[in-house]
Amino acid sequence: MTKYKTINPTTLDEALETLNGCNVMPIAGGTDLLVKFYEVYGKSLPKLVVLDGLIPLHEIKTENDRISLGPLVTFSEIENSPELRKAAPQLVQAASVAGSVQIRNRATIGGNIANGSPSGDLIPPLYVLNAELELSSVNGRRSIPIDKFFKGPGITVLEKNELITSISFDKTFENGFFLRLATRKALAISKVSVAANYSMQNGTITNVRIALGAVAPTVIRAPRTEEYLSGKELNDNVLSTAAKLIKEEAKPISDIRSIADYRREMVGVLLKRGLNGIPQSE
Amino acid sequence: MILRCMKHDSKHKIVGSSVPRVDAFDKVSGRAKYAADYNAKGQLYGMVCYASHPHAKILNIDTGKAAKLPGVRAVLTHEDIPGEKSFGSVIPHQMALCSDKVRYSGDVVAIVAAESIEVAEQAIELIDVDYRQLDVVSDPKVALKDGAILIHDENNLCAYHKVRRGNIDEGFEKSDVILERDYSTSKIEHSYIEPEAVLAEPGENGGITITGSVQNLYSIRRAVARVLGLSLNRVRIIQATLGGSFGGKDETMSALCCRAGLLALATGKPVKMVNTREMSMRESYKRHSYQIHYKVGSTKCGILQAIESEIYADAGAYAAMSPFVTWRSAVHATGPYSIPNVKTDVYAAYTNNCYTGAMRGFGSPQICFAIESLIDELAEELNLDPLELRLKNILKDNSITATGQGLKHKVSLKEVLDNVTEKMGFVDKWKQNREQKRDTAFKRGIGISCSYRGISLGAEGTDAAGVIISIQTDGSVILSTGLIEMGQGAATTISMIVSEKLGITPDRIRFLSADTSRSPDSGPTVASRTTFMAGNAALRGCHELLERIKPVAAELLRCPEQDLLFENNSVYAPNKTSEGDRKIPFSELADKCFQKGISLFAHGWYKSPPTTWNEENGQGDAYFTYVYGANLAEVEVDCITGNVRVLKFISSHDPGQIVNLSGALGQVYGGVIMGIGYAMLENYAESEGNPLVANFDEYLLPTACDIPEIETTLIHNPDELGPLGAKSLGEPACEIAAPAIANAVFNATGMRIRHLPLTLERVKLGKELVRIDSRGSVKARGG
Amino acid sequence: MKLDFVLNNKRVSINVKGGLRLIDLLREQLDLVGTKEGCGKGECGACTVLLDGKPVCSCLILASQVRNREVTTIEGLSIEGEMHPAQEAFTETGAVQCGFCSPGLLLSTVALLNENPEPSREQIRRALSGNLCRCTGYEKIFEAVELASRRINGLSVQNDKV
Repeated sequence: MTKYKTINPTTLDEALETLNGCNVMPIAGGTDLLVKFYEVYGKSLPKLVVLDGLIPLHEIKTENDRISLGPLVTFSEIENSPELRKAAPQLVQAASVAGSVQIRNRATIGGNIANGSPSGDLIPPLYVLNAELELSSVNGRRSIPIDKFFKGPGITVLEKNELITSISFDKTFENGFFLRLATRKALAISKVSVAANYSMQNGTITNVRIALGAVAPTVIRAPRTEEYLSGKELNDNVLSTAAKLIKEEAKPISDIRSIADYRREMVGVLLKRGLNGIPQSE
Repeated sequence: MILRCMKHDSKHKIVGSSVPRVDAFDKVSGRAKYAADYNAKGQLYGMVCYASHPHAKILNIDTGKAAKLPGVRAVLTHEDIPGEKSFGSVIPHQMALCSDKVRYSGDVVAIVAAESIEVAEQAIELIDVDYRQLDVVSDPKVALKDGAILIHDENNLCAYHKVRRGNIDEGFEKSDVILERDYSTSKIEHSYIEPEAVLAEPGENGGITITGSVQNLYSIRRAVARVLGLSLNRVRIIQATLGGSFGGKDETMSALCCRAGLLALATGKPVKMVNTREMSMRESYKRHSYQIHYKVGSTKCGILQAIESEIYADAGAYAAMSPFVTWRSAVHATGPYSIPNVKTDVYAAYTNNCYTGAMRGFGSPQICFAIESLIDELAEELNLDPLELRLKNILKDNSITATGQGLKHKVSLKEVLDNVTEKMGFVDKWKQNREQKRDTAFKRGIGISCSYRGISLGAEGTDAAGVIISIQTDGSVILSTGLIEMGQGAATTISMIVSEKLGITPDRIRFLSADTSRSPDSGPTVASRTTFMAGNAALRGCHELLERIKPVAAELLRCPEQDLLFENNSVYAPNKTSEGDRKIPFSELADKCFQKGISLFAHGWYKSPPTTWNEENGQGDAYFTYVYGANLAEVEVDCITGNVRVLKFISSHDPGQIVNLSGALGQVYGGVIMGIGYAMLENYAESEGNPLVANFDEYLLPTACDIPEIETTLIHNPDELGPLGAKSLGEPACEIAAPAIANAVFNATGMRIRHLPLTLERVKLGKELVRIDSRGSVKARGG
Repeated sequence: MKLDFVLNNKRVSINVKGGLRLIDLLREQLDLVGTKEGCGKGECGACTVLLDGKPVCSCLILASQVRNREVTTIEGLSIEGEMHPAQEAFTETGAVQCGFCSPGLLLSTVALLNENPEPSREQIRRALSGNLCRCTGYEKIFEAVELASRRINGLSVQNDKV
């Protein structure tokens, strides 16, 4: 039987006030935190600030072409949002392949970001959506683009007393995808993932943004590949060159989930397949 | 589901049909009580202190600080053991609590009982153990070399078995083609979803009662009695509803029961111990990883002349069932083929890895993977299709096996192979697949495999079982036996056999959980022996009862005994009695018998037919009978990513006579999926004796999304020895899935994978995944 | 802390430590042992319960997170002793072997059928992929879900299958 100490704020101010204290840690869905809690903290367990009661942080809001998600929006809510299906297809695809139903019903977008894993499935889509994060603390609010948020595996710029209070982005350019590879067809962590967002105009690709998951200490963009693709017609030659380029941009390691060589190779494969419209084979 | 099945023999009333499990209602309502669901007033919580190193001398154990922690009731080490410090069915050297050294990372040096789990965990942290680290032996071949670090006092050879038949050199001389290949298989965790749990309660008689998730109650009782220094009649082991076992809840549970028992006796209080998944993964024994070398010789036209094999099994730190597991491997090493010249050597070596023991298949899945891959490789070499080569060499009626045993029953190998191949048009499809374009990303492949399997214990040891049948005065029946229900459906199949014989419906039969103090020691519930052994014992018990109650029924119905028919909870003599079709309810008959002072209690006992074994040459009638099976797998390989999808699976088996059709199919589906996990996903990876996976996040089991459509064909081939003709099914179903898949991948890609599992990386790059240090960093190992 | 929530259709008001895991609250404090713990990490689904009708792993939820919400466990599936069609279907088709994963699988099934009364095989696979089963190979579980679906929708049930 495991017992944690909890604090249960009901307003954001109360939550931020609590987080300003010592030895506290916010908990959203708990699907990452409770799994690694003991391993990370051992005997000096912090008190958990339970965020469930902060109702406004569960909302999906749309204003003109801007969408903002509360950090407590779950993977299931993203997966089932008709709005997001149109406005952020890659985010919806990522949310729908992660974990299991049980996990998706609890795991939150804020938690996925704050956890800072390079294989966090929602992060590459948020990179290509140019998402902005709003971070709040008793000292005020600040805004930061998602690609400035991560410092390394599990390391972020989030201060101990800060909370992610909103994730916002513009609706996509009509095209986007998220593809990944995993050992198993469900309940699996990605070995490698690729997300993209782009427009097609008169047969050429423009406004292209590509992000890679699980192939570097953080999720990364692939600027050289983006630049190369921009304005090109998508034919076999272009795709092969892009695949070659993107392999050079990946900096994977070998770990229990895959091998560096394999990951590097697959980044190119997934990019090609995504741009060719080949769906996730799961 | 697609099912082809011989219509069940109409001479049976219930046997052969589908009957809902007798324990299903309790299980779907949440009412079934598993070990961790038991609690006793005033219970304490037990916790173990694991070895800090996989191999080390213990210099000192200081429990002083732990003992002083408020809430701690006992801290025990080997010094507190009243009986022997070790146990083991074959070699009694497994330490309940380690004394001089630790041999693997799941060894335990001290145990604590406390008022709460938290306090017990804290107390464990306060135990100081001084170790002197020893070099670690992690490769079984290295372990057997001269000068290797010793795990136990004598050399590291845990077991050795050989089979010699004909003249191996002459066999290869007669061969036109000789092929040598190496295969390896990974270590597998049983992955019963219920982690181990026990509740040990001190008994009024100075003994102990332990309720737990136990598979083999009697071997566990022997271990507990030995370690606690008690006679067998004062140790009572009761089986809680078991949340899966697959061979896994034997020695692991002996250790847990000994520890909980020690704490209960030391404190005079009930002690509950429940393993977390991490503890279970770390401590519980596994399926052996094997390293297998084969040399096969054949004539040009594909007649096998000789097979030589050298097989190394990783026994890990303790013997457990390794000597028997590897013996089964030795008997079956040449596969279901007639081979005149055989030389087989199987070694099990001690290492500092997690120890290995019984798991569904018991030394056969490793062998089946290797030999069935080898046969396909040979077919390729001979330019034959895989089916053709098999059909030329498979065992037939009256064939002689590698151990010199003549097969006197009906050998159904050709039939099972036909069943899986004909419907799919195997040979044509297999040929078409080879013509696929080189540059296609997604390629189809099809592969087959087959096996024979000796049922029950065979020459491993004495093989006997008993079933108690007790008719109540209302005509309901209580069954009890030392063989257990662990999810496989034994409660239902044994009930059905009794139902068939006594003519009462299964709902009138109650199958009790096993209890060592109340049911006869019937040996272990292993080796697909339960239906056969308990079924035969139950038939004898029924026969005995019928002999006693028939005269009473005949008298009531005024008819000769041979005219009586027991059916549907009543007895009658169709058209033969002076009173027409008068039926007497079974309840009335039972009550009448009781009034007359006739015993309504019978103990049916069955001893298996004899087997023989000559250690010198590995020849003999190893098992009293065999079952046969074949698999077909169809896969789609994504040649770009290495992703293999198993699209379709066909499985055909010969269980003799089906008892419960629904249960039989469940065994096949479950077995096939366990085999697919073995083929595609599972690997209990270790590095220098340290486990690299801790939970189901990294030890991956197949999910509902990972499985193919499965078609099953069961053959009706009653065996004269089996109860109503039944043989066995549970293990055959899981042993030949992996080679069918590997053969299918070859058919698709032309790439032969000789090492399990077939991960994306292995299929794409030929490399496997291994973590080198802590969670998060690993290197790749060529494979 | 005082915790108010609805458990199996009944209001519950109880004094608990808010940081207790839901599974421990259910098993240890409320004696509802039908919910099983298989891995403690959200990987096996044996501890699945419904939270406001949706399947979640009770090993990854804290007691204080169910405040004012509705929790359904296996004990709450049958109403006044009458089994849910899914429970009947699991029994009849042979979808249960050792039974340890069955409570979790049943709750996932009930949530699926509430949301989608006529799921396809693919939808069933996906909905149950968070519940590991080592015994059955899932096949008979799929059949059970399909049988329950037909019953719930009042469709004729063919009994020619096993």
